[in-house]
Amino acid sequence: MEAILVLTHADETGAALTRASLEAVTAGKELAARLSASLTIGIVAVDARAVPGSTGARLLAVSGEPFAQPRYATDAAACEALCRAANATIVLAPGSSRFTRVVAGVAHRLGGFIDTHITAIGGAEAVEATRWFYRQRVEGVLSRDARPWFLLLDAGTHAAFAGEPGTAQIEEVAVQLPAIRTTVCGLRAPSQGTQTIRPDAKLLLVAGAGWTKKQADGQTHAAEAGELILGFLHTSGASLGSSKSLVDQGGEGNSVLPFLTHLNQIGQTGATPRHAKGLSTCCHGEEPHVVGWRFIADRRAISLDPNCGWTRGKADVVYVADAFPVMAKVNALLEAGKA
Amino acid sequence: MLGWATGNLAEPRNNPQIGMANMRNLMPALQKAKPATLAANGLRYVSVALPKQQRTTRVVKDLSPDQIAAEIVEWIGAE
Repeated sequence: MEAILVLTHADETGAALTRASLEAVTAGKELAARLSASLTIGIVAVDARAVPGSTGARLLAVSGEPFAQPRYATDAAACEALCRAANATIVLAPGSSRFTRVVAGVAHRLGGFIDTHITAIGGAEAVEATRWFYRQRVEGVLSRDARPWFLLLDAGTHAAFAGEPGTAQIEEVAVQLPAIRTTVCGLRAPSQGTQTIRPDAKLLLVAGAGWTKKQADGQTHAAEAGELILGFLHTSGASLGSSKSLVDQGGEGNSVLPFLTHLNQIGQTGATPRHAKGLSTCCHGEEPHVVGWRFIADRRAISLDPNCGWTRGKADVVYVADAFPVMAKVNALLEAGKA
Repeated sequence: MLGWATGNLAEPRNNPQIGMANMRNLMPALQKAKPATLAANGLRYVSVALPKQQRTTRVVKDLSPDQIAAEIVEWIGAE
């Protein structure tokens, strides 16, 4: 019989599990119910007792000040100790930046195997993991006989587990810490107002290179384009993506949109975010771009070109129009709605 | 996956010539490498499929910017 362990970690506050961790708990509960397997939840946090919620599963925890901050040496030691304590054959973990960098190492220490970017776990009798290959172009389902098998789950693929508040019985697991060479002095992050990448946003706005091209008057209007895009992000709370060509223009020091970095890049050479809705502006829907839209449920596009790639079965609605006046009006309507 | 850190230095400018120059050294080394067999370790591909999703695109050509904006705002607000 399989023994399933779900590795989770607390968020920056230390008082709750991250959303991705709660999604992994949901996946673990579903899998355990399907296979009639034992389920254990492993928590890495400063104080695991501060993490609320009753899961109905055995709870193991590694607590202490060294686990307050992500650090390879301490996180890997914590995950290894949890896996050994649970004697797990299947280990699920959220694909967060904190666990993505340690779980492969933990799998190696335990002589196990790992598969990453898992989007679904199926199979009635055996475990069958689904993931995308070749930049979201091919979907494969795979299974392994080797154990322990580590599965890193992509965020946004499961519903977050909402446990009833309760005093869960937590078993503390002792960890033999290695020599710690890394000291975390603090975090530097852009303030919420200047942050344009918002993974939890419902809407993704993608800005294409058309924003910086010459307009009907023969001039470029990059400053106006920047104001329109930032204004829309501010009023709608959307996340910002961009095509590679526009990001590259910014990196080469041209007078383009200064807030775009390669982290905003969507598509074949960039990210594949998950949002409920996506609005593409001044961006054509050719294949390298569209692989970045694989997990956008409802897609609309504004493009001047009626033969744009978006019209070929890739978007739900394409507006053949100039994005400048449309987005200016959208911003005005959103501002009026807020007021 | 390849990662690098530049410390306080900026990201280097795009320069394909460097890659081509390095390739002169890399290619002979790669050709000398001995093939290694990779154990499957019980890995089985249950299915491999291309996504079939083909959307019915509604192409809107004859609306004014005001009408399009109103439609987009309504769409953004809808659950």
